[in-house]
Amino acid sequence: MKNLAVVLVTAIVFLVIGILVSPKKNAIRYPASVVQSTFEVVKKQGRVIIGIGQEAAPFGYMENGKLVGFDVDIVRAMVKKLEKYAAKEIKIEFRPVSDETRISWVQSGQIHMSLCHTNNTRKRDANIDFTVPYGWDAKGVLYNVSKGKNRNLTDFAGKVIGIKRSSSSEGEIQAYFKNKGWDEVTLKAYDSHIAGIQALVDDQIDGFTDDNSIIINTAMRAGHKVGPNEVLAVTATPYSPAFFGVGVPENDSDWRDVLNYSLHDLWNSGEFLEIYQKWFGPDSMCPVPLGSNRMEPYVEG
Amino acid sequence: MNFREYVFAEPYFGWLCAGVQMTLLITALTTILSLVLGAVVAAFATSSSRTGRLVAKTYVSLFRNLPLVPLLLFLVFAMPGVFRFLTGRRFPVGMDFLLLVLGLSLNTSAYIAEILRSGIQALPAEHAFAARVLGLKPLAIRISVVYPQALRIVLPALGTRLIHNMKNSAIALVLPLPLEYMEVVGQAGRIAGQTFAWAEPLLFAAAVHLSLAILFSLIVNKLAREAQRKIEVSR
Amino acid sequence: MSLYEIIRTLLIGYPIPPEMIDPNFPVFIQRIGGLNLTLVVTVLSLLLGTPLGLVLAMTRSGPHGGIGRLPLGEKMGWWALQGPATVIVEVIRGIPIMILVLLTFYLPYRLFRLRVPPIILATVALSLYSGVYLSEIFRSGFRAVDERWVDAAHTLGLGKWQVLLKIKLPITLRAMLPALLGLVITIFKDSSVLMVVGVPELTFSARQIQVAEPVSYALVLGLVLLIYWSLATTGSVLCNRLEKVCSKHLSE
Repeated sequence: MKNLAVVLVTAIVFLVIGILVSPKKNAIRYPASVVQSTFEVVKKQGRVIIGIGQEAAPFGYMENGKLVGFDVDIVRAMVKKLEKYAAKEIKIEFRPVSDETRISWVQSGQIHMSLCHTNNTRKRDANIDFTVPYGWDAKGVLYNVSKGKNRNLTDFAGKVIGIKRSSSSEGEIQAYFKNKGWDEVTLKAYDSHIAGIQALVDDQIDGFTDDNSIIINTAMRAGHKVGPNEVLAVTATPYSPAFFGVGVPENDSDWRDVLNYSLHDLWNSGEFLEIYQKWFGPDSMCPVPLGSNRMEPYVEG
Repeated sequence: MNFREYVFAEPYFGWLCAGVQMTLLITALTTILSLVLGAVVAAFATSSSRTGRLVAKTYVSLFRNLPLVPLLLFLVFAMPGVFRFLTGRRFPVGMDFLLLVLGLSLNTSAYIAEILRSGIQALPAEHAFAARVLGLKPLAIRISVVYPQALRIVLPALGTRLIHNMKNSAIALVLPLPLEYMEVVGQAGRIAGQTFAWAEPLLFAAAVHLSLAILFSLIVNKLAREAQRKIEVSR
Repeated sequence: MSLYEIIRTLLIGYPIPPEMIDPNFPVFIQRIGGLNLTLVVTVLSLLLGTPLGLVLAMTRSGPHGGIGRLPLGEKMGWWALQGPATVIVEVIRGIPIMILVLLTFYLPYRLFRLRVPPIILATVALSLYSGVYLSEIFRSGFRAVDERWVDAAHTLGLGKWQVLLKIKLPITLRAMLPALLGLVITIFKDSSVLMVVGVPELTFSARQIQVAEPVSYALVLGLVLLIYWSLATTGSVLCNRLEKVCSKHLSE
């Protein structure tokens, strides 16, 4: 009895202290180290620690025990360009990040940069910074063709839709349906894309959503046919665009600049398009035409 | 630490409050179901039929030795496919929450059955004899003489297991539940997915679980003391 | 992926590309995965939890309750130690292991910006958990020692250390052994919670297979359950045997 009272009092005291010391709104939450830029650290140590997603084809995934994907190729080429600015050899060290840790590890300084098909949303931009977009996609809903062909987003009003946990889809799809005045969707958060797609095949949910290229690739890799007249299909109109950026620590201008330069160099030299064609070109599993999307290639000089 | 922004701001505080309600709901449902299941299995375990005892023993050894995380994952992710494979029909939609309750109850009921069995076997055989001499039927003896006394003996152990059962509800975090069905830890994870701050909502969830555990153990202690008094009186 | 490969991956873990290995920490630790990692984390956390549990139990038992006398005064300052020890035990026992694991993974970054490899954090979380439960087991073990036996031993002329080694320790150990083995099984099973933070133990290996290979998740999860069940059942059968042996010795 006495023991329990002691615990209760301590817990309450801790909670009250926690509330009292919590800073006011709009205070700087994660003061980045302005003393030394991440670029200086990378130069000095001769290595760059990169958070990389390894569970979402075609961006970063495991194949035969090797890490492959668009993000992986891009970052390898980027570091090659980075070496020019650092004027020394830089070793790549990958750390696996999940959708839960891809932002917070950048904040906490665990990793120097993060590439995990991270859509540059405002909420995220408030916590870390992003380079210029290096990938473009749209978010539609994957559905079972047997339950109706050529479905539109409006068909999913009031239905159950699966999302990937800790993706930005939750807010985006709810806001889209609200703006259109349609019935709210019920969302179910899955731990992995493949779990959600399996649930869709098993008819447990009406649709599954994330970046189109990820859901199509994941479904095809699991052996499901994707297309308007196949087993699974994606809605023609998306509810949200996606711009993938490299996550870098907040307020670290030097580091962000040099990564932007590396991306521009890739674009200007044509290497970017080569890599893009490899993963999203007509011969790839899920072609995503570049269309009018361009990286802002700043002019040198 | 910034509780003001990540815990006590809308919509996050609303999510957490809904999560607390779901934690309580899951706890209530699993407690009832596992008590019922546990009592049935304990009845089998102490019955005179050999098959009955074997069934009870298998049940207890199966579900006590399966860890909850893979068990729940299996129930939610593999059941639809297994069901279709066996029956050729579609697994009913929207069962995830019920499967969660079922999975937690299967685990807890195996422990409860074991606790109740030990309580029943700890009773002196004279009690049942006396009741039989008085002309009570076997079922009546069980219900009115054996079970209430056994329950009094095992109350502390039972209470500990039920508090453990409440803590187990946090494993729902690994399951794909509709957002409004997520319990408090799941909601904390949902906030973390939006704000990238795990520490604050998690500390809130920890405080909730801690205070619930303390509250329940106070209740159990009180009940156990009364039960102890009754046991002493009956001697 | 063939059945053989699936089982192999579950036992030793999913292969890690060389670039993913952190050179600042021992490489061989990072290569452990699957069931191996589950077992390693279980054993490590019990080993590290033992001193923690002993300290907590001796503190909470007071100057006379422990297995020996602590180098502290009879009355001075005990409450100051007992309070925090009680708070630690009750708080960790009061929160789910899921929250404990998540807090261990996210709080150090948030508060101190510590960079610790996941496997060490996992061991720390489970050590705290096992230490607290071990302290309860130790405490009940201490209580099993009857003061009269100790007095009798002293009368027979046994020294302080002889009493500790020949009377107190055997009785305590025998009284604790069943509960101890039960805790080993519990920690073994509860280590599956580590999958939520991406520690590549048995359950997470199943998830890695599911994400990377086109195989049936039901099959993989079924195999995982079978592995856990067979090991835990072996343990609990052993536990029952020991319980019988121990109770026989005690009643003699």
